[in-house]
Amino acid sequence: MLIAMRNAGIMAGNPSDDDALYRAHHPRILRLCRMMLGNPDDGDEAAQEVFVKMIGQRNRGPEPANWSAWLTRVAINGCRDRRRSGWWRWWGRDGRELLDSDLTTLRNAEDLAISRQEQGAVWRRFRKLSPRQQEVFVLRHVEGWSTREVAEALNLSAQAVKLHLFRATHRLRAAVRSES
Amino acid sequence: MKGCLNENDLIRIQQGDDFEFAAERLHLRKCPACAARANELASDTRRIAAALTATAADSRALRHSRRAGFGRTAGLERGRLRKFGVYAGAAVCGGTVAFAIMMALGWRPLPGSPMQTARATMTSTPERSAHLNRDQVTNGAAAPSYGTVSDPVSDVVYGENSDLDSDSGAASDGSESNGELLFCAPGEDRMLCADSADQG
Repeated sequence: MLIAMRNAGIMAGNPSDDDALYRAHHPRILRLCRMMLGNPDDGDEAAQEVFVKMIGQRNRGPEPANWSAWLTRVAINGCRDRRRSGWWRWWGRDGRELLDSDLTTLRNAEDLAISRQEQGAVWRRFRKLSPRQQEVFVLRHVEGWSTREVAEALNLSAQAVKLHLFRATHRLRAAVRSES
Repeated sequence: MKGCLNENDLIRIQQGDDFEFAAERLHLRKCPACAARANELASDTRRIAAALTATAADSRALRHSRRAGFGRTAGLERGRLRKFGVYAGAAVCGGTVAFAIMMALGWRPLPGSPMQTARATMTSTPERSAHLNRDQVTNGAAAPSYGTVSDPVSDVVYGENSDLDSDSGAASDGSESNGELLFCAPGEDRMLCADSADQG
C-alpha cells in the first residue's frame, strides 16, 4: 500500500520512517480492526485507512509523541464510525456468529490450551458485547493499556472504563466457564 | 475487611490500579483460596485475550463468520432483508394492480408522449427524406436522406449530408461533397434541419 502511494506522489515525508511505522504497527492495527469489526475484509480496509491517515498526519504535522497510541485511537474511532454507518447497521454486519468447525488450529503453546469450542464461545460472546465494552476490553487486556490510558483514548472517565471492563469480563468469563 | 473475596471483588481488584483496594490486596496475600481464585481469574482473562487474538488473526474463521452471520442472524433472522422484500413486493404488486385498473378503465398512454413521437420519427424519417436535395435540407423542408440516425431519447435525427453520388463523391447538383453533418429535429408540421456549417 505504501509503495503504491509513494509511486503516486502522495507521500512527502521520509519513506523509511513511514515504512518503519507501517511495519511496526500494521499487524497490531490489522488485528485490532479485525477484532472490532469481526471480518477480515472490513478489518483490512479499516487498517488501510488508518495508515493513510498516518501519512496525512506526517505530512501535515505535528507528529504525535506516541504513534502507537495515536494509531490505536484512530483505528478504534475508524471502526466505530464504520459500525455506526447506516449500511453497516442495515445489513447487520455486527453480531455475527462463528462456527466452531471453521476455527483453525491455534499456533503457539498458550493458544493450544484453548479449545476450538472455547475460542468460538469467547468470540460469540465478545460480538454480543456493546461496542464500548469491546473497545475497553481489547485496549485493556489485548493491547495491555492501563485504565487511565484507555479512558483518555476513549474520552471516558476512569470509573466508566472500569464499569465497562467489569461487565465485559463478567460476560466473557462466563463463556469460558461454560465451555470448561 | 470481612471474609473472603467474591468474584466481583476479584474482578474489581484486577481492573483497578495498584494503589486501589489496599485492604483487599492485603487479604489476597494472606488467603491462599482467594489468591488461587484471583490467579484463575487472571488466567481466564489471558485465555480470553488469546482466543480473541487468535480469531482475529484467522482470516478463514472470520470470513466464515461473516457468511454465517449474514445468512443466519444478520439477514433473515433479524428481519431486515425480509422487511425489504415485503416492502418491495408490496410496491410492485400495488403498481401492477393500479396499472391494471387504469387499463381496465380505458386509460391509454397519451398519443403525444415523448416515446411515441420518437418512434414515429424513427419510422417516418427515412421514407420522407429518401430524395433530399441540399435546398430542401437548407430550407428545412425535409429530413436528411441516407445515413441518418434517430436518437429517440433526445428526439433528434442526425447524420451526414449524403445527397451525393456515392461513386464519384460528387453531389447530385454537381458540387463537391463537403461531408457536412446534418442535425434535424421534428417541428410542428415538418422536420427542421441544419447542417454543421450552420451550427457553427
